[in-house]
Amino acid sequence: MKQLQIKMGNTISKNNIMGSVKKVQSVFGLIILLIIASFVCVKNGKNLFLDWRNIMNVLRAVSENGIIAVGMTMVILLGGIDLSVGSVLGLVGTGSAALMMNNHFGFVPTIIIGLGIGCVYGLFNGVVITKMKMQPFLVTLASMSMARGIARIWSNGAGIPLSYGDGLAPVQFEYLQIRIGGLIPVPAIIFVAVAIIFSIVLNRTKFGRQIYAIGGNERAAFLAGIRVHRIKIFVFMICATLSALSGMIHAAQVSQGGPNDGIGYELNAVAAVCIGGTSLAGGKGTIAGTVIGAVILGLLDNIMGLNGVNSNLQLIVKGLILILAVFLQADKQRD
Amino acid sequence: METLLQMKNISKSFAAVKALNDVNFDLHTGEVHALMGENGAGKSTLMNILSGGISFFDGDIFIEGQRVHIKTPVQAQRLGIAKIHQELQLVPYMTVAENIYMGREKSRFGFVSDTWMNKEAAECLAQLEVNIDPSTLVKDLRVGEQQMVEIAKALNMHSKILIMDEPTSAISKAETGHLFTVINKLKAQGVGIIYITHRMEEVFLISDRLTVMRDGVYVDTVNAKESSEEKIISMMVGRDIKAMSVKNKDVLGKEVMRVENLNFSPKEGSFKRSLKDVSFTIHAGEVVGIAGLMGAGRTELCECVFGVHPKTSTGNFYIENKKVNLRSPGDAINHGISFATEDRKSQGLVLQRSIGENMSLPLLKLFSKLGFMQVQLEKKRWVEKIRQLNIKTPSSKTLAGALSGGNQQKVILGRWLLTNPKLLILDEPTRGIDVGAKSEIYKLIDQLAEQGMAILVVSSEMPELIALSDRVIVLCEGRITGGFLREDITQEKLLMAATRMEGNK
Repeated sequence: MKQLQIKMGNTISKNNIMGSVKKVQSVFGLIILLIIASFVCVKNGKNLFLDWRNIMNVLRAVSENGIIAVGMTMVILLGGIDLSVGSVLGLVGTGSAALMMNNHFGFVPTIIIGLGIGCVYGLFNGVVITKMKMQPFLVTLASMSMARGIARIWSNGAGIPLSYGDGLAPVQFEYLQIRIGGLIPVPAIIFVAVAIIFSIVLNRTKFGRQIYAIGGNERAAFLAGIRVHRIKIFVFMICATLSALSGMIHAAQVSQGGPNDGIGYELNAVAAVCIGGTSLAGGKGTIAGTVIGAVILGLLDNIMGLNGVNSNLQLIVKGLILILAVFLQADKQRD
Repeated sequence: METLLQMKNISKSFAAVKALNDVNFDLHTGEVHALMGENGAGKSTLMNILSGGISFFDGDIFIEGQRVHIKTPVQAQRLGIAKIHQELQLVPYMTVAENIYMGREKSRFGFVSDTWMNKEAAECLAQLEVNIDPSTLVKDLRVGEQQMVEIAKALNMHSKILIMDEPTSAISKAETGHLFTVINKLKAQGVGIIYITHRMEEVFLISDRLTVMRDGVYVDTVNAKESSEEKIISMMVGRDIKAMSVKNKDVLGKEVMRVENLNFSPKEGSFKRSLKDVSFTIHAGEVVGIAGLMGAGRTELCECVFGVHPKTSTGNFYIENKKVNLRSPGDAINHGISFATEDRKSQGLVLQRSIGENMSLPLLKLFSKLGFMQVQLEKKRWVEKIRQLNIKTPSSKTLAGALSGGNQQKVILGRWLLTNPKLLILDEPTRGIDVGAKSEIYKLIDQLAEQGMAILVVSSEMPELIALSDRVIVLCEGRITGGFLREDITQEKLLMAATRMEGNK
């Protein structure tokens, strides 16, 4: 996994010197963290960190945030932001649980409707932002609140527990959280697949070029004939759809659809993106960086958890690390 | 005359590039000292050092014989150094007086005193013989007036050294005349002025001495009276070149585009100017110039033809005699129209992406298969254009932001040539670029026209328009007020038409 990320970083950075400098920096941060983790997590002569099960736990834990962060990267590359991702996760998690438990939907229809909700939600965000010419921050702040409201209405405000079997939720849904061979968690596999797919999309396709161009200079992109609105709407749809995917994984992992789940997830996603070296101003950044950013955040949680650090203290440390990372990556070229 | 400023042995490197190498510069009281050089010669770097924009460099600066340390813009200000920026740096939604006193507001009992500031600002502006009400919002002023406000602000801070970076690039002839009167007044008061411009005729009109820089190195300082345009140009480029192109023209080709009754009324609050009933035709192989003062609607005309304002403009467009709908830049590109905008950085290039990617932008469809970019295919075309246009760059992967102004302009030209257009629209194609690149672009325009491309050129420099165009259309306040064929274009005629006001048509 680690090797895979570094390799991805290399191929992508070839055509972007600035990007590679920054990427090396986040890779560097990741390595330091891994070294620290290997030393400080030793208890009673046993290394709690360097344990397959623990490492897979870290990956499982970062998957939900990682999948969202991939979508968030593309939105931020456009110079936008999507604050509604956490509520969309809650909405789709709740909705899919309700569909399966209350309406006895099968696996495939549930997945399609779940992703469809994300799609439509992103369409709404994108259309309001582009056609009504409003700030992404405000629009998604508003739609964050709306998604939360819909989720609570759908479930009457209470969580919907999932149980599997005849007349209950389809068993396939449980596969979203099992470990293959008792070790590799399915969410992590989905995360890696999503990251690879969208990394290729950004680097090798016309769509990717258009995203970088709009994020770098929207006016120039428009005057070069790029359909800016269409691309923006599409990117918001991808981001919301990935949040929906993450929502269903989340529901499977916690065995319930909780309308209040995913609060604060938008901040985690933005943090992963920024630690990964993507500029909030748009136009600069990579998925590989975001993957590393998400893993760094997950490692921090894990190291502090294994050492029994107070959870409130953990929040403070994470905040400081975010500031440090962004400071280190700030564009210091301009004197 | 005494020495006001001395910059000795100034050197500065950015990463591995030596931007300045052992440069000397001095300025007397009551003198206008022109600083000349191609883009990338190091003029801006030198001035940034003087105005505190760059804090680490080698060398010494002396003001009135005293060695000074300038690390920040505030320190430069305290030492009496003020810079009038190329892009004006006023706050649009504050009044003239508030801008002049920004950071130094006069207050009474803790409240800002508008009455006092307005009165003082009015006096200050009167000194410059400028008729502006200090309580006007800056956004409501013309560019020339805004510039006067900047100068008033500098004087108000008792500046002794005034740096003017391309002060006439955006103002009318009349305003330029006024600016020169003001400059002469300041000279009489003992202010030293460093004057940066690309316009040769101005330099000889206004300056006392000239310093030429090339590739970060000091070349020479001469008295303006004892020098000539040719001498300065050859000092700047290090070789002799012909400043303007000469062209020979034969018969007109077929009609490429016809515009009928184009009307444009910008949205409320927009800075755009309106167009009224504009009609014209352009033929294959023809270079048509668009003349007019700032705000005459020249850029707006280009934009409308390129499909930028589908909702606020009306009119009929015909390409090769077929009526077409131009509802977006994409439509225009598909119909063979290309548009290289006036402002390269804000409207043309994606600075943090490579030269190649910038060139491919309008052609992503052509260069991709099932959505995937065919990098080998596009790379061939990039290399071809880099060679054809003599773009100075290590590779096609270099970031567009790392190039000099002239080379950036060539990247944009390369981009639009790749689309193989029937009609190429160039808005101020040589603004702010150096003499060498300028003459290359003139040559290119001639070549393209010869190959049958129709070219529409907007330029504020009349000699340039006259040299390039087969025909010039003059705009004034959004209307066509004159059209001249090559043989009877003169600067006087163009100016007459450009200043003809509504009603006396």
